[in-house]
Amino acid sequence: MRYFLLIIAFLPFGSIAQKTILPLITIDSALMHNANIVVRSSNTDFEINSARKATFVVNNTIAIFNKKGYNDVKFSVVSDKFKSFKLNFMDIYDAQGNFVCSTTDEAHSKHPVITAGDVFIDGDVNNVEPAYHKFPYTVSYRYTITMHQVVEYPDWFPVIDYNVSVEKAKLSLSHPDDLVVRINGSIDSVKYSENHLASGTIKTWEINNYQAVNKLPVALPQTQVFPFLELSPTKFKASGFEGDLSSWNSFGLWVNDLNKDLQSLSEDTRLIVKRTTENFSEPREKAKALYELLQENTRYVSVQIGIGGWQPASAEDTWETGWGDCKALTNLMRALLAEAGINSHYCIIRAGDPDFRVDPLFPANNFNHAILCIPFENDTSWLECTSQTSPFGYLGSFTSDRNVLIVTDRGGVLTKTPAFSADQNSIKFSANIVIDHSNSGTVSMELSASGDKFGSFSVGFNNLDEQERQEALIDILQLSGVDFQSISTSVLNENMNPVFIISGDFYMNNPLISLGNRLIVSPSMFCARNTAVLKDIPLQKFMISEDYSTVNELTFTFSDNVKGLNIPENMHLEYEFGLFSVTYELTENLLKYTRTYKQNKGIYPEEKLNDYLTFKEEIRKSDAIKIALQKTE
Amino acid sequence: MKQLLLTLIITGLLFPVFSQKAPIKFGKVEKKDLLMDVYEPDTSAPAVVLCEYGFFDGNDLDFNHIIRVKILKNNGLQYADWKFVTGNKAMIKGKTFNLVNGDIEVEKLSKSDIHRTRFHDAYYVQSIAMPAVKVGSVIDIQVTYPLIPSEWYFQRDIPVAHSELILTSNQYIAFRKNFFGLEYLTSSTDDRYIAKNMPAFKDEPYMSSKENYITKFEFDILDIKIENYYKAYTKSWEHLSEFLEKHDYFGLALNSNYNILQKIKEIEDNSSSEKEKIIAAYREVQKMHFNDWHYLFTTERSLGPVFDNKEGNSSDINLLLYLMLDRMELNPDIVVLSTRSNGMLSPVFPSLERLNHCIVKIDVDDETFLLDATDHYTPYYLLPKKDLNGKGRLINRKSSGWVDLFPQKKHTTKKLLRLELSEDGVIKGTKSCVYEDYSAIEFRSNFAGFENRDAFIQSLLKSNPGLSISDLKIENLSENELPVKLNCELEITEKTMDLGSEMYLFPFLCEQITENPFETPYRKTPVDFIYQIEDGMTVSIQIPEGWEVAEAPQPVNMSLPGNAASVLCQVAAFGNTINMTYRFMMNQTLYTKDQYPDLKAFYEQVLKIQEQPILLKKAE
Repeated sequence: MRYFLLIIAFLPFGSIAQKTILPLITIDSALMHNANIVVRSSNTDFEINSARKATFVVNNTIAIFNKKGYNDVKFSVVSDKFKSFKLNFMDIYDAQGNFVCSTTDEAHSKHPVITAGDVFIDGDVNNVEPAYHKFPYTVSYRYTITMHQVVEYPDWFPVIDYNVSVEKAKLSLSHPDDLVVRINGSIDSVKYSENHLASGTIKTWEINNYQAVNKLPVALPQTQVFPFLELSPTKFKASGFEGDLSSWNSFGLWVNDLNKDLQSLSEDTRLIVKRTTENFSEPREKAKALYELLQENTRYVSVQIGIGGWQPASAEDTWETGWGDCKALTNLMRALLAEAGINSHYCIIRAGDPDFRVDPLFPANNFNHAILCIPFENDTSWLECTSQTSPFGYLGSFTSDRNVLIVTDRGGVLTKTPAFSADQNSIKFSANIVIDHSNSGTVSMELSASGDKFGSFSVGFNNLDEQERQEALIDILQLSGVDFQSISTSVLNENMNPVFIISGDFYMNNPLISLGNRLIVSPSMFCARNTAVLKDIPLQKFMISEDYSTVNELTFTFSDNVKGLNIPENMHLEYEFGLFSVTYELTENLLKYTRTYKQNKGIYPEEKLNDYLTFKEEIRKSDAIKIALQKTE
Repeated sequence: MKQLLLTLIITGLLFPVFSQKAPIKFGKVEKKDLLMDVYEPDTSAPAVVLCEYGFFDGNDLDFNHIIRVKILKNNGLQYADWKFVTGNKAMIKGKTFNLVNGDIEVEKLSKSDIHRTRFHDAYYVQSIAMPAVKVGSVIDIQVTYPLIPSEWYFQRDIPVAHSELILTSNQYIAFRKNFFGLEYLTSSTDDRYIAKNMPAFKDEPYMSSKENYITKFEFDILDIKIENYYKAYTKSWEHLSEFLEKHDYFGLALNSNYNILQKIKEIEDNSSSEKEKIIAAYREVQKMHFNDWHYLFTTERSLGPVFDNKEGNSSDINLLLYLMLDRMELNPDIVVLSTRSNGMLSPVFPSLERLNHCIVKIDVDDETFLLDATDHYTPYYLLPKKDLNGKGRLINRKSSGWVDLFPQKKHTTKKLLRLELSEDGVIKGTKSCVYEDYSAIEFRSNFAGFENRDAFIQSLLKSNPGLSISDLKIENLSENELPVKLNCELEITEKTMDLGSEMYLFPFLCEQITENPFETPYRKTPVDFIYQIEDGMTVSIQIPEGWEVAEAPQPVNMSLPGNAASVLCQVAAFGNTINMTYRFMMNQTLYTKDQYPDLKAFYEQVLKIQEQPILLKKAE
C-alpha cells in the first residue's frame, strides 16, 4: 500500500518533466538557410457543419530565431457576435526542446476595434504573440475560431512570409456534401487528397520542406510567390439575407438586397437637395454640387465593411448624425443623387494595398470598402464618399486601377476602376536658380503633381500651416540654408485629372561650392536621391508597382559667363520597364538641366533584372554628377 | 455618511458662494462664433479652443470642466473628438452648434457617442465623438467629476483664445499646483488663473519633452480629509517615501524567492569584492527582457515571478536589482524619477503623478554608481539616455535628497583613415573607428537593430553609393565597459571629380553631413543634445605619383561664444601625402533659444567645411 502511494505521487511529476518537443538541432540545414522562423508543423482543421456554423482550429509549432521571426508569428483576429476566438494554449520550449513556460495569458490581448474617429464598433481585435523574447526558441500553440454566420472563409497561407521555412503544413477541410465549397489558389508544391465519408467530404492539402525565400527590395508580393488557398462558400446567409457566391452577379444581388429601402430622405433633406441642384441643368453639375454638399456636411468615421456588418446605415440617419463609414456615406450620396433624378450604383472594392487582388474568376467576398459609380451618358464617374477634400470624380491610389463590383438591381458586375497612365501619374518640377556675385541663390520653383500623386500631395499639403509647408518642402527638395519668401498652392483642372501645384520662392545661402573663380554645381539638386542600388542579387522576377513619370527642369543663371570644365554627355536610356534621359545646355551664363524619368508598371522576367539594376545604377550615377565651371570674365 | 453630508452642508454655509463671473456657460453659444471663419491671430489654425474653463468647487468637491471649440478647416474635424481622464463617476454633456440658413441648429451628444475605458486603478478615459460636426461648427463639452484632474493645459496643439481655471480653497482636500510652460498667463490671483491668446504648441527637433514646455499646471493631491477617508499623498518627499515603502506594488513587493536567493548566493560565491558583486548583479539583471513600459509600480506583488519569467517593466527590473543588492547587504538606495520623454520633475515640489521610473544608487569604495538595468547596451557606470533628465529623488527613510542625473561621460567618436588615391579617382584604404561611452551605447543599440552583420554592411553601402567594404571587424560589441572598435578596408569611387589634368578630391568620405537639423529661423524651446559630443577624425591620403596639391581649403578653427561648440579642420600636404585633421565638439548639452541663431549658423558652416574639395593637378 505504501509503495502504491509512492508511485501515484511520482507519476504527475514524471509527466511534467517529460514535456518536451523536438530540439532545434533536428531542423534540416537547408531549411535554416535565410529563415527567421521554421514552421515545424502546422495543422489547420476547418470543419464546416452547416451554412451557419463552422470551426477553424489551428495547431502550430514554430521555431523562432529572431525578432523579425517573432513579428511573423504575431497575428490578429477580429471577433464579434458572429465569430468567437479562443487561444487554447501557448507554450514555450527552449532550443533543446525542454518546456520553459506557458504564456497563454500574456499572449492574448483583446480590445475593442479602435478606429480613426474613436467611435467604437461592436467587435474586438484579438492580438496574439508569443510574449517571450529569448531567441531562439520554439512556440507551440492552438487557437479556435467558431463562426455562426459565414460570408467568407479564412484563407490558407502555409508560408506566411519571405524568410520563412516550412517543414510540414496541412489544411484539412471537411464539409457536408450538400454544401459547395469553392477553392482557388496557387497550389503548385501542394499535395492534395480527398476522402469521402458518410458525413461529408474531407479534403486535405499538404506542403513539406518548403525552403525560405530571401526577401529582396524588388520582390513580388507574397500572394504571387507562395502557395495559398482561398476558400469561399457558395450559399450563405448573413444579416438575415440569403446569398449566393456562385457568380459576381448573384453576389451583387445579395448586396443589393441589403441596401434596399435605405435611401429614403426626410422632407427637409429633400428640400436641401432641391435647393442645391435647382440652379444647374446638366446632371454632372448637379451631381458635383451634391457631392460638395456631402463633403461639407459629413465626416468619415471608419467602420470597415465586414467588421461593422454588411448593411449601411440608412441615408437619413447618416445625414442626421453627420458621420458614417464608407457604406453609410456612399449610400447617402446615392440617395441624394436619386432625389435629384440621377441614377448611380453602390460599388464594393478592395481598397489599399494594391498587391491584394480580387480574382475575377473566383467570386468571393474579399472587399473592404465602398465607393459610388455614376454612369453619365458619355462617361462614368467614380466618387470616393469618405473624403472631405477629393475633387469630384477623383479616385486616388487607394482605389484606382483595380477590380470593383458594381451593384445593380439586376445583380453585380465586376469591372475595373480607371488607372492613370505614366504620363498622367506624374510629378513635374521646374526651378530657376539665379546665382548672385556672392554665390547665394534666389530660387523660384513650381511642382505639379497629378494622377495618384495629386492625392498624396494635396492630402499632405492642405493640412499644413506655413511653417510646416516650409518644412515639408525642405524635406522633399532636400534643401539646406534656405529662407522662404512665399509658398502657395493651387489646383488646376478640377475635374478628371486634377493637378496640385506648389509654387515657392526662396533664398539659398549655399546653392553651390565656390572656389575662387570656379564653381561646383550639382545640377540634379532638388531631384536626386543618392542611395546605392543593390548589386549581386540572385536573379528573380521583379515588379514595378505603378506607372509613373517625372520631369525636372532646372535653370541656373550665373552672375558671370562661365565655361564648363567637365560637362557630361547627354544621356538617354530606354527599356521596356522605363526610360531615363538627361540633357545639359550651357550658354554664356546659363546652365539648363533637364531630367526625365518614366517607369512602366508590370512584372518582369528574371533575365531582365540585371538590366533593371543597371538602369537604376546609371540613374543614380547621373544624379550624383557635379559640374565644375570656370568664370570667363 | 450622515456625518459627511452634514459637514458638507455646514461648509456650504460657512464659505461665501463664489462670486466671480464664469467666462463661459455651457450651451450659450453666440452667433458671432458660428460666423467666424478664420482665427485672426493664427490664420492657419485648423480649429481653435474659444474657451476652456475649469472650476473646482470646494463645497461639493467636484471639478467642472467646459471646453468650447470652433472647427475652422477640414483637418480640424479631428477636434470633434475629445478625451478626458476622470474617476469612475463622471457627468458628461455635449452640444454641437451649426449655422443653417442663418439659424442656429443644435445637436446633442448622445450616450452612445461616449466610450469609457479603464486606464488604471480608479482612472477612466472618456472618449467623446461629437455629432454633426463639420467645418464651421462650434462644440461645447461639459464634464463634471469628483476631485481635481492631474493636469490643466492652458495651451494645446491648436490655439486657445481663453483658458481660465478657478480653484476654491477648502478644508477637505489639499493639493499643490506646479506651473510649466513657455507662455505667460494673462492674470493669476490666489485662486483664479487666466491665459489669453495662447499659440498652438509645436514640437521642435532636439526638444526634450513636450511636457516640459507646454503651458500647464500639474496637480498633486497632498491629502484628502474626509471622515473615514483619509489618505496622505504627496505632501512632502518624506510622505512620498513612506507611501511608496508601504505600497503593495513597490516597497511591499520587495521579496525574493528561492531562485533569486540561489542567484545571489552564486554571485556572492564568485565575487571577491563588493564592487564585483555589484557589477555581477547588474549584468545578471540586465539580461532580463524589458517590456518597454516605464512605470513606477511593479506588475505583481512580488518580484519572484519577474525573476522567473525574465521579463518585466522598468520598476520590476530595477527593484529586482535593488533587492539583490540589498540582500547582499551592500546598502543600495532607490532613486525615483521621470524619464526624458515623460517630462522633468519639479525642482520645488514632490509629484507622484510625474514619476514613471526608478533606478538604484549605490556607494562602494568612495565611488557612487547609479544603476539602470533596463538597457542592454549600457555599462554599469553610465545611465541610459532616457534617464538623463535633470534630477531624481532618493527614496530613503534615513536621508532624502536630490540626485543629479547628468551624463558622466561624452558621446565620443574617433576615426583614423589611411587612404591611397589612384589616378582614376578611386580611393582605397583602411579605416579604424573607436566609439566611446555614449557613442558606444548608440553604436551597440543601432547595431542590434540589424538582423545580422551583413544587414549592417548593406545599410552602410546603401547610404554611401560607390562604397565597398571588406574585412570588417567589430570588437567589444558585448563588452559594455569597453569602447567599440571597428576596423575595415574600404574602397570608394565618386569622391573625386575628373577635369583631365586636374582632379577635385572630396576628403569627407562617409562622414559628410548633408542636412542641417536646424533649418527653421526661430526656436521656442532649448536645443537638447543630452550629452556633450566630440567627433575627431584624422585622414591621410597618398596622392598618385606625378600629382601635386594645387589648392587646399583654408584651415578653419571656429568656436561659438564661450566655446559652446567648436569645429576645427586643417589640411596640409607633405610631399605626396595629404593630412587632414578634423575635430567637432558640442561642449554644452543644452543650448538656449538665444543661442539658437548661433547654433544654426554654426551647423551651416560645418556643412560648408565638409563639402570643400582639394584641387590636385598633374605636375609639369
